[in-house]
Amino acid sequence: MILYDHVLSADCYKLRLMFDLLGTAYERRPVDMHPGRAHQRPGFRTLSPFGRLPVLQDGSRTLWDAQAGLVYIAESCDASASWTARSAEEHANIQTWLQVAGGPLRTVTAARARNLFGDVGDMSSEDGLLEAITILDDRIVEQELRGSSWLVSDRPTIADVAVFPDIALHEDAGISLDGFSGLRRWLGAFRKLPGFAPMPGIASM
Amino acid sequence: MTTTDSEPSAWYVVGGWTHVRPGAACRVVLQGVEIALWRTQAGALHAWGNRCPHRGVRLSLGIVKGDRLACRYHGWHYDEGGRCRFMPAHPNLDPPATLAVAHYATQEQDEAIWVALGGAPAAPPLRLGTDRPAFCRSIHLSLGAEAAADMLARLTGAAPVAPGLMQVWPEIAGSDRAVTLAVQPIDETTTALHVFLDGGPDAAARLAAVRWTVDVRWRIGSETGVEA
Amino acid sequence: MTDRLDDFTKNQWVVIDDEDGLVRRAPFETSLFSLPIGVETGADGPRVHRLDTGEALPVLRRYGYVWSAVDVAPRPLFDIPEFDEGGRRFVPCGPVGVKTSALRVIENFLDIAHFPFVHPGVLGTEDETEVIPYRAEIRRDVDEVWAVDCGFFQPKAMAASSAGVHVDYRYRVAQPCSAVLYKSSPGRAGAFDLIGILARPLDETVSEVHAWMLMWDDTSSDESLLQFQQEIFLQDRIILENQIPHLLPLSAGMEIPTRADATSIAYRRWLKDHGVTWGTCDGVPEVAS
Repeated sequence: MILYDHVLSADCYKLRLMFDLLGTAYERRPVDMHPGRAHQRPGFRTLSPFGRLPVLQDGSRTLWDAQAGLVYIAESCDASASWTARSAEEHANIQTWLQVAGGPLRTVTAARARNLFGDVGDMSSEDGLLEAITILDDRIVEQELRGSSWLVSDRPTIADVAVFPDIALHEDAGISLDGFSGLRRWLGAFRKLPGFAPMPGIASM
Repeated sequence: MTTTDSEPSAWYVVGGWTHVRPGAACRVVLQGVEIALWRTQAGALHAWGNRCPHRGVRLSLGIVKGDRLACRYHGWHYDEGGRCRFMPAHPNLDPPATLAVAHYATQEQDEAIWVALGGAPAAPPLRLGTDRPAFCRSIHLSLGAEAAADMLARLTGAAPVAPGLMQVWPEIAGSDRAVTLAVQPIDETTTALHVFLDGGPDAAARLAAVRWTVDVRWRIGSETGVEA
Repeated sequence: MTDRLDDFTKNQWVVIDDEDGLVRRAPFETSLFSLPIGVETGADGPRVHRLDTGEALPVLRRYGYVWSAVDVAPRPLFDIPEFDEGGRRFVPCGPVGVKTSALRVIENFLDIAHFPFVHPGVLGTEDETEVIPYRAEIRRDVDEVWAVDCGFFQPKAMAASSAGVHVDYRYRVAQPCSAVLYKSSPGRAGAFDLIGILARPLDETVSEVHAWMLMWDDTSSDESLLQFQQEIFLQDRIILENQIPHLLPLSAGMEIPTRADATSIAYRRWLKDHGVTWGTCDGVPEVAS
């Protein structure tokens, strides 16, 4: 598989992480997302109509959504079939958190991108960012009471991978996790998974 | 901003016992003071001033190596007393005894982590219940400590029982267990509440208490117009 | 606040953007020393003006960058003769925002003891952390800070490196907000590659940082060179944003250096000698230790 990628993109990191956690090799093709904005040029739109990274290619198949990429990589490469759903309930729960990663959590992705690459003098308030973080922390705390360290069921799934980068890069987004000990514990558990590799902005341990 | 010199040193809850795990470090802020809270691999708890004396990097980002905390910038190792013991750029040099981090008194009691900023108080921390209190969860409120206490009293009927502690019987899960709220003044506009359930281990009751806490947080949020 | 803007700081050319980047962004509004400025492209090139007074600010185009100043006659921009030599590739890395003083950014760039911890497996390794004594000095004749004889073992010194090598470094600070690193080139024996860092202070504790590279490399793609350097800077950024205070302390007592910090000691001394206050703790009483 080929990954069109930028080293500093949280969305691209979701797929790099999935490959690493599965121990699967892939080909990385760096795209000049910053400063060149190459992913938004007309020529790139045939690959990715919304002008976004990452793009995943497998032979003639092209996927341009990070969450869809996670589904594809896990279902194609996970021999243990543990990263994806094993029941209708798990499927629905995983889907819920993939939607959160692609929806409400994007306020965090945007805040980080603004802080890093935009004019830092123009920063919006934190309020809109905190709701998704709070809800994720609530979920982890409840899961812990059920004896699980993960978002869905009893093991790490693509739901955790989809959410991990934006939470782990919270410092870049200007968000403190001081008040969210559930998420801090979840980050700690995630980092211990075999194959895990950090990216800049995440404290590696 | 620090505690005023005229006030005697007091214990405050800064988290439940799971707030920081063995081998981890995190930041807590108490009355405007940043603290690096960390545990050795064996679980011993420490509360330090959150600044490496070398180049001012937050020690809460540090890495725990056995019973030492290493600063993330240049890897300087500090022992449990806060003294620097190793500077990787100069591996054969013994760091001077003056190279040390400020540290604060800390205590674990009733599944809570307590910190005192002004030196260990003579008396131990207050009890968080009468019968095997269990830590449920913590929440942060965008309110000063007094405003938070007032709002809690109004919305839940919680009443102060001691400095920094409130109590309420929310009738959760059909039980009459007391819930104790430990109030942590983070700074003038932020307060943490740490919630403890009395009456011994009971998973269902604890889950119910956690849900009650989240409900209180949403209700305070909609009153103040702030999400969390 | 501009009343903290000392003459030495005010009197330098400061980066606005690289040439292509400016064209992509223009017109845009930003800040320089807490002054709101507008940047646009005109028939005769880029223009910069103050948004509060409308006053046009001087513009200089040099080394692939567009520079401006709040002083009507800034002192001449430092020389980088390697730009005129030809043969090397120039890669500007684009702007990155950092919430700290520009001086903290430059000082971090000068630091080598952090490589094994902040850039593990790339610029350093925990197996080799010792910093061999090197020479740092303020060269009074050119009024610049230099550090030479800095040597370090690096697992992956440049994008094209496939094996660890011993690398020689030289550092140069020619103005408070600009620094250049000369490192032995894996692409051409006996020659140096250049990596530079230009910081624009938006205000005293917020900066926009432009890294650039000028190097002997015929094999790597632009994207891979770019991302190699961007990854390294982002690793530094989380450290920079977690240094307290964000302002640079110039006086002794607050922070304790060691011999490995010789370049930073010289840099702080040089700033103090020039009466620099902008971006420092000097004159800010409430920045407690």
